[in-house]
Amino acid sequence: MGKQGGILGPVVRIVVLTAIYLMVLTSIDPADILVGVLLATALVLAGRNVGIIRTRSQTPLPRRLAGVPALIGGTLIDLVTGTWKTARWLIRREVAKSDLVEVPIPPHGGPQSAAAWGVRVGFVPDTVVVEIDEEKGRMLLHVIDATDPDAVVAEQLDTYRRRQRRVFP
Amino acid sequence: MISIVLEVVGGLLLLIGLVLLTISVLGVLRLPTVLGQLHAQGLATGPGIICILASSIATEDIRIITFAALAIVFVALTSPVSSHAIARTAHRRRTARKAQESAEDKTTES
Amino acid sequence: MPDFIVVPALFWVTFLLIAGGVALVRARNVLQRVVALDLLAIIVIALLALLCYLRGQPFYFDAAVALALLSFVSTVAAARYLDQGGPFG
Repeated sequence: MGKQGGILGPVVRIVVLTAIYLMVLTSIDPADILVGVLLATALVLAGRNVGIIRTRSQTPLPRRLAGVPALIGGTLIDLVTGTWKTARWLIRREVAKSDLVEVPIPPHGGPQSAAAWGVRVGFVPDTVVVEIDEEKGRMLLHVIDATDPDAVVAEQLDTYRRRQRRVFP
Repeated sequence: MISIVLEVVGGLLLLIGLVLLTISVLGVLRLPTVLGQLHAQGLATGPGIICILASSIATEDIRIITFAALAIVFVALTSPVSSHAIARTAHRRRTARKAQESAEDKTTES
Repeated sequence: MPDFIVVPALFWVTFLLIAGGVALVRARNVLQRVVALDLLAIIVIALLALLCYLRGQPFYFDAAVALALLSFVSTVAAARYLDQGGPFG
């Protein structure tokens, strides 16, 4: 992490944790905000001492945060197209051969990157993550239309490059 | 004016969500394999429930909308994990059964 | 949200709940039952959300979020149990 990231990282975490606390309480009372900030600060400091929260990425945090809208928006686009494909497959009962496809994922990303892969791909209904192994760098997918496995692999790697690589390399 | 637009948008989202839930239930009823059923179930656990929860913008109640947003984030993070857990178990059971069957074939042949 | 949208939607979701119960009964093996139960939990969450719109009270969403949490934990535990013979093994 860069020099700015050293300060910005904990601040972002505190803000996010406070936001979750306030959403659960559904109030924006100043006292509640104060309690939430204190709790979030304690949690972030404790997490840093224990070493639960680790980031191994070399990219500075502002650039990673700038990639978040593209990640969420792109995943929403994938969601709409995947939903459309799955719904059509279920209604028309097309005999597309659904089968397992193995996708190579970049192995240097570590557990965070693999988790992002799994959630991003598993969220879209036309692909189900069957097995994911970040050490060997491979992911086993069950897709609806497996007539051309190479096209599926190329499509997955393309969406990774466009949506995920800036945030979780 | 804004409230009419919100109601129309909320009603459309609710309709889309109900259609997706219906297709999903039909798919789970009809498909023969677990992995195929998981695709159909993903239609309900992903976009279906998100559309229904997002139609809460039509209520114009800030407490309901914040809770709906929280529920959307929660469902979006957990549904891939549970479907992955089921898919992994189904795959391992299938490979184990195939290995057992081929072993039995070998013993009967020899 | 006007009642004339929410009330038919409630009836339809209740019907879907019955259809999900049929899917649960017709399942051929344990994993298909787990899939059907997960689907039933999602339908009940939708039902609670619609009740919340009808009554205009946010408390139903507490139950919906808690149900989502419970269904997630129980699905993962059941899948791991069927895989390795123990929920934490």
